[in-house]
Amino acid sequence: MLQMEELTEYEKIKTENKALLAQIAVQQKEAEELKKYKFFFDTGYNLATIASFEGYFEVINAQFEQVLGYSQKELLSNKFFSFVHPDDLADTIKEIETLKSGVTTFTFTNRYRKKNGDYLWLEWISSIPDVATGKIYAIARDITARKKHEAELSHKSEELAVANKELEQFAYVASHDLQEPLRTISNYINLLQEEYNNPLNENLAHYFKFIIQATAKMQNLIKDLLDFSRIGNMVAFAPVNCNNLLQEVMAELELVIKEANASIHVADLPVLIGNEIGFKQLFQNLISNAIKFRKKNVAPEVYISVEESNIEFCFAFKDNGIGIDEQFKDRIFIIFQRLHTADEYPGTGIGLANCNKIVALHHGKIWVASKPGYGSTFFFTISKKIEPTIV
Amino acid sequence: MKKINCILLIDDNPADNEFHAIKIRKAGVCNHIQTVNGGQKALDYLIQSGEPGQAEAFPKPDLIYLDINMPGMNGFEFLEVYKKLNEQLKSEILIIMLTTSLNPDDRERALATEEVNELQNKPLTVEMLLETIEKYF
Repeated sequence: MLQMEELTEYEKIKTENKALLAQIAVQQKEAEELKKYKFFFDTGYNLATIASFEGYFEVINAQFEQVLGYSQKELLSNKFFSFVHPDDLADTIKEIETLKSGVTTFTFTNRYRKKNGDYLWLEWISSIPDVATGKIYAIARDITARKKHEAELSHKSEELAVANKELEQFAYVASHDLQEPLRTISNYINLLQEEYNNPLNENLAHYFKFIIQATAKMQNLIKDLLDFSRIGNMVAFAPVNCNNLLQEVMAELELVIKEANASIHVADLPVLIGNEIGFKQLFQNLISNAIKFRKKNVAPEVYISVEESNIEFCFAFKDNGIGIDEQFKDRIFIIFQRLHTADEYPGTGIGLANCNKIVALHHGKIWVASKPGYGSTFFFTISKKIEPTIV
Repeated sequence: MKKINCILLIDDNPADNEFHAIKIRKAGVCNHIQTVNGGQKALDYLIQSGEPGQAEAFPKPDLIYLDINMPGMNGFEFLEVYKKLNEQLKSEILIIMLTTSLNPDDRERALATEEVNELQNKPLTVEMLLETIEKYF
């Protein structure tokens, strides 16, 4: 009997032990898992925390101490608002209110004071509230370096804008003031020629010719420079009906078109927000270039079309002219850069520089696709984000 | 050929005044050419021309060529004061603004001014002068 009882007891303990061992194994496994999560929580570049709606950090990872320089105790025993930069406090309180309403937020930024008194920028890349327990599960990263770069960049671009404006102003003043003495020279040279040119003195006729040509060329360059510098002032944006505008431009170029026996094929063009004077110059330049740089004995054909995307319009001016060598595709958009002598193709070399500037003013790009001997297609984009100017 | 008595040139640039005077002489459209190098001097001249016995030294102009961009008193500022001169002084004076400005605003403003007959671009030519005299006198 006794033996039986003992045996039963033994079996019972054995079973219990087995169950306990299994339980321990489960707990051990859970502990292992937890260790993994803890490792995940603690390591890495990001700051991770579980905070309360009341404004305390309850759990923080090691990065917090590392980045801010406080001890864990200091961080947990003070309300986190007390570390926030005074200028960011109102926004931070608002942010916590948003979280309390159960809304998950992303990319909230504020400044935290470090132990040494410096401030650093934190970007809270995800803050997930749990309204039931009143907790916030949040991850942040230190973006102080990025903010510094951004500030430097914005400072630099402001400087650049100022320098650009000054340069434009300089070009304007220089060209404007250069015009007058040059006009005087030109006037009196013409007078000299009128009064002193001697048909018997061939040299004199030559000299006059060169001086008058050079003055005229300089007058043209200065006038073009002045026009170029004025493009920066095209700040009035309003709806532009490209169809009507193109008809206007073609009417003005009628003589050129007729003389070259050119045909211009125009697709339906949009109404867009832009600077009308700028657009007119743009159309004028591209069409007259397409006609000017035509092949000998081939009537110029120009195809104008436009493609529209969500963000921009992309115009194309395709011709059957002489084309442009690959190596010059960028150079042609620079002021006073010419690929041909003035005898071959007249002009100062400002047209495409003007186009480039006008397109840039509309947050667009201009470029050319071309094969020498097969013609060129000039593309330019115009952003749809341009707002009409409020007068 | 028609010939008027006096043309007054108002321009701050003496080289321009001289050049235009030469062209006027060549066109042979007037007896006297007077030049002044600014708006205020032009007003002084006009007032003098109204004084008795000054017809010789300050002949009253039939035609004024007025520059726009001048330091001190510019063309439009000159016109503001000119408007207030007495009618007798202003009677039968024709004013043409003569400028290098291609600014449409200047043109509009010039033509909107009652005292201004026309706006022409520099430089004056013999043809322009003959045409103007033919048209207005």
